[in-house]
Amino acid sequence: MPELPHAAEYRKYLDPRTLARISGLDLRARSIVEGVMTGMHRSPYQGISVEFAQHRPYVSGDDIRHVDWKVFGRNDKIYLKQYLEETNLHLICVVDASESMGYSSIDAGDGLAWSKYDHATAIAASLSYMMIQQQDSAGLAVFDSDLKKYFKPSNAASQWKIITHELTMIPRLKKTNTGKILDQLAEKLHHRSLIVLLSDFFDDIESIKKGLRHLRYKRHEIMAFHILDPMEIDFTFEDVTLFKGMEEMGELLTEPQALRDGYLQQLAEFSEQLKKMCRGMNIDYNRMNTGEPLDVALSAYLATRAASIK
Amino acid sequence: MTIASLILAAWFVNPWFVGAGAALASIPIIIHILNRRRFRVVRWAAMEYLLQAMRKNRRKLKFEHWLLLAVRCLLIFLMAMALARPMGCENATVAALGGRQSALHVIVVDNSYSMAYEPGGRADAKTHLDQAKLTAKKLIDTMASGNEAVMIITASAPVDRDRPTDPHAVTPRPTYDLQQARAAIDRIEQTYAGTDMNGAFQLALRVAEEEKGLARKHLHVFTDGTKSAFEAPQVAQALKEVGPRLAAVFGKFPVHSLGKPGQWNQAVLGINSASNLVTTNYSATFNAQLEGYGTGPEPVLQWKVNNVPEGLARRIKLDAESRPTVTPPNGMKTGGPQVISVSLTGEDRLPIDNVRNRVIDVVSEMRVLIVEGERGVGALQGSGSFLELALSPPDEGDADGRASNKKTKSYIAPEPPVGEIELASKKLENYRAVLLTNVGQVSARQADQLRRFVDAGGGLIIFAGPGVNADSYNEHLGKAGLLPGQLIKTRTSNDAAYHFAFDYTGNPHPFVREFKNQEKSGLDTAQVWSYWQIELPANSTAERVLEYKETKDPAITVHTLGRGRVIFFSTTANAEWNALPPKPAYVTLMHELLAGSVGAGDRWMNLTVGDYLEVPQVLALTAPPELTDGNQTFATEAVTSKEGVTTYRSSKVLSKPGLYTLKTATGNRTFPVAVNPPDNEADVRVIPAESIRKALGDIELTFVEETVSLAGLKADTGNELSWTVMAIVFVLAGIECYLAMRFGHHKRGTAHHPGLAGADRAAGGFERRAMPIAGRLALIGVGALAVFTIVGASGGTWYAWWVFIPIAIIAVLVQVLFGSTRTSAPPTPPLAA
Repeated sequence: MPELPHAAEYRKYLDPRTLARISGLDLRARSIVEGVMTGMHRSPYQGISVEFAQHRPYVSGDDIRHVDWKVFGRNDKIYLKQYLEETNLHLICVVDASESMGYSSIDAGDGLAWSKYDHATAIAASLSYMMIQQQDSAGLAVFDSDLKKYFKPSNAASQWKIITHELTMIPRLKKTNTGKILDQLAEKLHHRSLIVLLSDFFDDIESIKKGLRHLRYKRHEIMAFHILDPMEIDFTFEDVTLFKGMEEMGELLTEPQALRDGYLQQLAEFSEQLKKMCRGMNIDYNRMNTGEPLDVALSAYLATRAASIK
Repeated sequence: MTIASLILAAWFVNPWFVGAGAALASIPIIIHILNRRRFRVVRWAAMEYLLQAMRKNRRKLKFEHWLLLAVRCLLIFLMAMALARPMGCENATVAALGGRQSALHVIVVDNSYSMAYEPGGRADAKTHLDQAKLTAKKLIDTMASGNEAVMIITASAPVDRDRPTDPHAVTPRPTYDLQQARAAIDRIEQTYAGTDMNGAFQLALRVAEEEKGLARKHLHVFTDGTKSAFEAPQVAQALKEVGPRLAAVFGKFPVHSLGKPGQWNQAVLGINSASNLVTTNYSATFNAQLEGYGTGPEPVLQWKVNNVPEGLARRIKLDAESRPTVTPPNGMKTGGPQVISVSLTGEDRLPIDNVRNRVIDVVSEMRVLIVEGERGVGALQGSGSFLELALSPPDEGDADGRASNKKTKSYIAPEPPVGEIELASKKLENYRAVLLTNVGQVSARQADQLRRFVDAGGGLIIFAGPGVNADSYNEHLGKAGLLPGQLIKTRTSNDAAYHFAFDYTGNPHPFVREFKNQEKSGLDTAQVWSYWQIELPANSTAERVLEYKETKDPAITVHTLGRGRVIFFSTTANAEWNALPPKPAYVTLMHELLAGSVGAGDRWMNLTVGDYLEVPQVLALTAPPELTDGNQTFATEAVTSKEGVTTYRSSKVLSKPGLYTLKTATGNRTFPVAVNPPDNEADVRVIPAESIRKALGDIELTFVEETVSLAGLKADTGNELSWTVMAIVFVLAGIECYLAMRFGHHKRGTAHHPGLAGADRAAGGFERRAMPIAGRLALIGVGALAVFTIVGASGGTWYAWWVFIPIAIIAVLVQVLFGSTRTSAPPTPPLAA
């Protein structure tokens, strides 16, 4: 087995511009996970297993496979053994594939760009890979104005291949309708799942709020990744620019510098609103800059999750 | 010219810049329009926030854009206004803030020979001129370099061919180079000429007229303030007229009066011969005109003839009437030019005019041509026979002098009379005088020939007679100016007992002064039976030498024409119409008339400083002669007149007094030439300031003695708003930079992306062309300073365009390349929200 490179050197493979040069999403995801794991001393999911939780009296209809026969032998009473986790963790990556996710200001050279969608799919694939590697189930939902694709969570080895394949095949042309999609998902998901929502959230916040509330009502765990391009965050345009709005948002010929402060204020207000909303519903909110390496965000997130599980 | 342009011309030094500024103020708008057509297209995701920002800030952005655009337009317009150099009100506070201003200083330095006076008591300056130069240089030292132009003018009289445009200009035009101006002051030479304040003032006015671009104009006059400079009759009227014009242009200007009270000078103003013609035959008497101006010790007088002392030197008391004379005891035995000199020695403070030379052409043989209208076959039968005899009488009383071989003592050498037909074939320049006796008709050609002869200095005596054709005379001689008036008719005494007689009582003419108080000279008893009546015009300059007692008609007249003279004798030269020829007075009268008619042949050899030496044609030179003063040789050149006559003259005016020698090219003839200082500069007595003021037309003047008139200069500062406007431009430039930064209308050095390393920014395309605010300010500052330095140094006007245009172009380029790409106008509203 070849010797693994030093963690710091490995990080260069987590840079968006490096990842952009890796054509296959599966390879990207592996690179990310390997990079993340190599940098960790302790995996946050290590030791996850089926653990005893409690006994409860048998009631009619219970599966006799769960009867604790040792207790019956000693006490002559029928008790069932109950475990902390009855099944594996279900991860659903919900990826926004609307037109706005296609925006990119990052030029990786050779005509390659790193869009918000690229960033989102890299995260989705990476998390799915990690889940499946740990015998957990991973599923996928891709949406724009409609729910385009949905794959139930599964821990089958082929599931990850399906996920990565589907993520690369989705065309991104339409408007987004996040709230409606979240409602639909809430109806579809029967198991309590971990939902990772990857979107720029350029949508009606009330609609999103409604959808998220629905999911939370169904007791799903939600992680919201708010993905933004560096240009959207800093707005450093200088020349006179004709902004052609994606998702049929009209045009604006203006001097960006003059509008910069106003724009940044509006964006900050929206982000704050979004963050506040997530906090209110006990949802993990993370703003991700597509110009920054993925490992920092992923590692930080995973560490936060581990801590919350304990 | 429209009213607007008149107003502009009155308010601005360079009014065209106002128009240019107004036009160029549109540059920011044009840049805006151009930039609106040049934009990049970006497909943008976060459009909603952009539109929300737009909706919220629309009014604010509009205001910012308009404000910035207004500042930029105003900036360019005010820069042009600064170059247009607006004029402020005198002593205005705002104008005073402007501080420095441009000005024209015209410095007039009197360098006439009276300025060579040595008053004594000055440590650094010997003469008045030295002091004037010293003070003028101190004055220049007080001026602001690059901002004030200086024109140096001298006020002495000579006309120098080296300076064909103006003899007074030391600097060809006003100079901003103060070192050059100082050097020009040093170049001013002491001349030996008179003063021409009017000429200098006229030049000062011309310069002021030409230098309209210079806001303030100062005149500084350095003079000794003598009577000759300001009160000489020939300049009085001109100075009275020029004074108010000077006051109108230069205001109340300072006159540095360097003359000291109590100045005195003794001078030899002239040497004259007692008679018109000095000949070898007769003794000659000369008198000197000496003047003592102011009170000084008695000088010692010395006469010299050809540099040999004549008599003993003697102390002489000078007063207004001092006219000492000298009569060389041996007479002037040698013919040709002789030099008579008079010198005064003593403690004179102005020695230039203490010596005077006079060249006298002593006549030993004078060739005259007698033309007879009536030829005679026998002795004394021709109309000019008596005349010939009278002019060159034989030693002994031989009635027929022509036939006699005996020598004559007369200096006059008449040729045998010729007939009027032969006149045309004679070369008149070989004669000193032509005498027409009873010549009937004179053709136009002959009249022209005679006119040229008289103009060149020859003498013409016209004797009338019965043969004279009045029409021919009036037509040709009259038109040529050779007659004193119109011939009317002959007047004859029909009664044999009645005759006309000459009247020479009262104050006789110099020609006949010899006869006064002399009885039986014959002039009083000479009978005249007939004469030609001539009518003198009212404005005639002809002098009556004699007139007839009975009719008061002129009998003999003389008038000057060119360099020569014409004498008209109304009766015959022989005894046909009068009984004069047999009388003893006849010979004397004819000699006097001839001597009086012949112009002084030495006039060309007696010059005043500032004159050209012009060699008369009578010398018949064929090549340029050599002129020298003993130390230096002066060039001479040929001058050909319109008539094709070639004469020779010095190439330059003779600027130094003294004795010169003219040598013909063949070397066989030499002529002395005396050059004397003008006689009107000797009076060095200073006239009061009030008299100078009145001489200049009663204008206001500031009289300064030896110091620089700084007070006058200080009072005039701060009338131009140019620097004030420029200061506003600087402030506006700063405001523009601040606003551009504040409103975000400038490019930042590098886009801020904290997540990307430096190398990555380049790879990401975020590297920007940029010029920092400090750089823009520095550029504007350097540009403005360059404009003002060059504009100031050049005196403004057209040079400014060559500076303004590149600066404007650079400003535009900087604006386009480095500045905000948008200059104004609110953004376009969204097409769809």
